[in-house]
Amino acid sequence: MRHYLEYSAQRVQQILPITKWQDLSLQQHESLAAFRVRFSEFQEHLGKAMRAVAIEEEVEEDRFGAILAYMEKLKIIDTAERWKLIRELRNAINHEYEEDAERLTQFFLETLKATPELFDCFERLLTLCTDAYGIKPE
Amino acid sequence: MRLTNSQINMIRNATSQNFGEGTLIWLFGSRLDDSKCGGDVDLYVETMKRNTLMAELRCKIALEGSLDLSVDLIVKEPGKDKPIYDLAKSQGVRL
Repeated sequence: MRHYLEYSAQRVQQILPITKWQDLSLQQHESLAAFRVRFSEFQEHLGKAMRAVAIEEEVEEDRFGAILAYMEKLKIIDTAERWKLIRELRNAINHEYEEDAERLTQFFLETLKATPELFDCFERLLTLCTDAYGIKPE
Repeated sequence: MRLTNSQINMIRNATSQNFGEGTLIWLFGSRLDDSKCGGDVDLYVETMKRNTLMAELRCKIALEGSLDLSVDLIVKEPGKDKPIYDLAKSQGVRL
């Protein structure tokens, strides 16, 4: 999943910045759409993995804020505030409309900026799972 | 209107912090109907700032944290125009 997102991010980087939205090819639109979905899914999976770690460690997991505070303590994420912002960015994926090119460009730039942060979080979670539970990716 | 004075002040503070002083706010949607229960807080905001995507997300996080309610935020930047802006403004109540 990580590699798919990495690939999509590279494709989108080649497309941005977009000056004339109408001039994008169908293939470029497809790349943007794939990036949206992959970013969204990857972020969601990381959130689920964080919750699973919290359950394993018997940390309060009813409030996601408590899970984020624990992840910050473990240095899985930089700050809970930044993670919440990335999560809102992901939630905004379905609220952005194609007729507002300026807004969409801004959205893709911010999402691209957040992508390496998701990869960092992923690597740290992998290390934690390997060290603490002996789990390695297949 | 189903918002307390304290909640209105929280909304004013969060919007001015994220969009600057002089930001105009309207409440619209189900929170205006006293006969209803629960529901999201629907806000329409007019700002003089541009490129407000991240400010909007920060404001939503701050509001949902302080109000402990789900918030839908529609932000109008200078020069932008969408039918929802007129609808929210005409049906809404200025905060």
